[in-house]
Amino acid sequence: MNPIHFIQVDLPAVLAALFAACACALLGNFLVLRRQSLMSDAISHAVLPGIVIAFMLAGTRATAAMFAGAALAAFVTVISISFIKRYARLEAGAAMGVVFSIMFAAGVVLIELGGARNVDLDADCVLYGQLEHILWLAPKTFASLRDPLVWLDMPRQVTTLAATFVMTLLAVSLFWKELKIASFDPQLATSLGFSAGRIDMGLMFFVGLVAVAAFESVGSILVIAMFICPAAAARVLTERLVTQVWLSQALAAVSAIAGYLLAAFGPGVFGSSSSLVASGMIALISGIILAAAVLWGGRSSRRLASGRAQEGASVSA
Amino acid sequence: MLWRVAERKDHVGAQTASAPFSTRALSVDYGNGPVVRGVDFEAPHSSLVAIVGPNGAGKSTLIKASLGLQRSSAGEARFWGRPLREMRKRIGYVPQRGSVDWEFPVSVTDVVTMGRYGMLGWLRPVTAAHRRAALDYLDQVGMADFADRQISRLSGGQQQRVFVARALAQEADLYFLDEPFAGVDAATEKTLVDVLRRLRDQGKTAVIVHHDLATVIDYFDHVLLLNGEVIASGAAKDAMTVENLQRAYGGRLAFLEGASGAAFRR
Repeated sequence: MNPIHFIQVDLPAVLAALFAACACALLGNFLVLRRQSLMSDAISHAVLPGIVIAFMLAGTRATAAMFAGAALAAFVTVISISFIKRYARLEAGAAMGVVFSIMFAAGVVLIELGGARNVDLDADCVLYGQLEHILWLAPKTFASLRDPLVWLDMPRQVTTLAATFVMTLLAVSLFWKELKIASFDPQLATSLGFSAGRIDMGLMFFVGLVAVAAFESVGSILVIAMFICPAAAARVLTERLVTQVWLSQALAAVSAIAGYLLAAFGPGVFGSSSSLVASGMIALISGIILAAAVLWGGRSSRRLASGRAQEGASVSA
Repeated sequence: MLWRVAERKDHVGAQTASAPFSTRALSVDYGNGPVVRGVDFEAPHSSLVAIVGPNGAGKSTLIKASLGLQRSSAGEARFWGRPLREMRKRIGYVPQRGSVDWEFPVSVTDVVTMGRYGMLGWLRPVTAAHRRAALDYLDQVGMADFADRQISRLSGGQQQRVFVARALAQEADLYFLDEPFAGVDAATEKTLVDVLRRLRDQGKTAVIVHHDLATVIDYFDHVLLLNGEVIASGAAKDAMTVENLQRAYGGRLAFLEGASGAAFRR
């Protein structure tokens, strides 16, 4: 294999996966702590029809257009949920479930309609993303990497995700104290003048932003996995919020890099010429890390052990 | 009433003289009938005030609505005669212990430091001075040795002390505590009562949702007896009469009286 191919084909895909995974995992920490993990699932499903419509109208995958569509879809979702809750007299969970699945279904139908009109968007892309299609053709040789112009030609998906990650990181660092208090004790936060409702909306705004930005490159499966798995694994391994956040970033990075490399080169090791879907492999690795953390991690295994001890005590009593 | 009028004359501005906490016709409705109905109440200066009443009487709801944590359907709450948003920094709040996730990955000091966030305001980070202040307040509730401990490794009583230390760290003039004595050990109960009395001696006021009828007269100066609407309010000894309790608790009082009837005035 020509090593420059690695720079042209694999590096941009790894970078896109890395930024997407880290941005998702960063926000995922707060979703996991607030027991709102499903919000990431819900948001990334509900915004689909908005993204598809924006794509069909604008004919581009520029994040701005897609984000506008997604925001519109999110707005429709929120309105529909409160409408259904009020008039169908359903509990909040049921109303949300109904609206999210209908929105996602509408998105898939729209994609099929678009497919009939030769719009370049399909259901596979929605689920798995297009990591493998992100190419950085500018560097022709290793020497050309010294040319700044070559770096400016980094694929749009990579720069978009990098910018999204940096924005998210900045927002989380700036509002660290506010996120902490509103996640731990929303009532105290509100009574101190840090409206928990507003902080919640800000968090959901960023969850939507990251979900939409990451969606095109890595697909909805990976978006959902990255919002939950690294943060949930980190949650089990530490009792300090700062440590948890850094750990989640490390685990997300490991999942992204190891998952991509395994998908791209793993089959070759076994003599197969094909490769696996990278986003699927990354999600799988993050799931394995979570399982390992739960099984052998400090906090929960201690609790399992003490739970067993208590069980034993009550049995012997 | 007379002494209150007299007090107002002592002060130049009516605002400083008006009660630290008062409600006027405050009502809360969750959607199926009002939970709190037209509550008119005034908490006197430098006093410990108990809100007492049966389950579902709207005690917590009254506090939450007053602090803007719950939408009220009518009426208003005032603090030193002013609306909440102007007085927020002078008000401390201790929610029910069960309202937060004690598995949250923070240490005892982290939690107490949260009490300082109000004076910091948006975007300003916590400084070493605030953490030192937090440690001082931990010491006041006898929890200094637990400063670095993760909050899941505390007993119920210790958790409650941490919550009270956090409220002290707010350095407020008016405190609201929602069932601080629920499920705590005797040592914690004594510590909390001492802390509350110290606050009162500093001229501060604390409004406390309280469940144990037997200790009301012992611990508190003033009582608001609530069952959706105000049943009685006034000096603890005057409000805690058997007749009033009967009206608040209805048939349930027979049991309560048997358990702790000695504490009530007949």
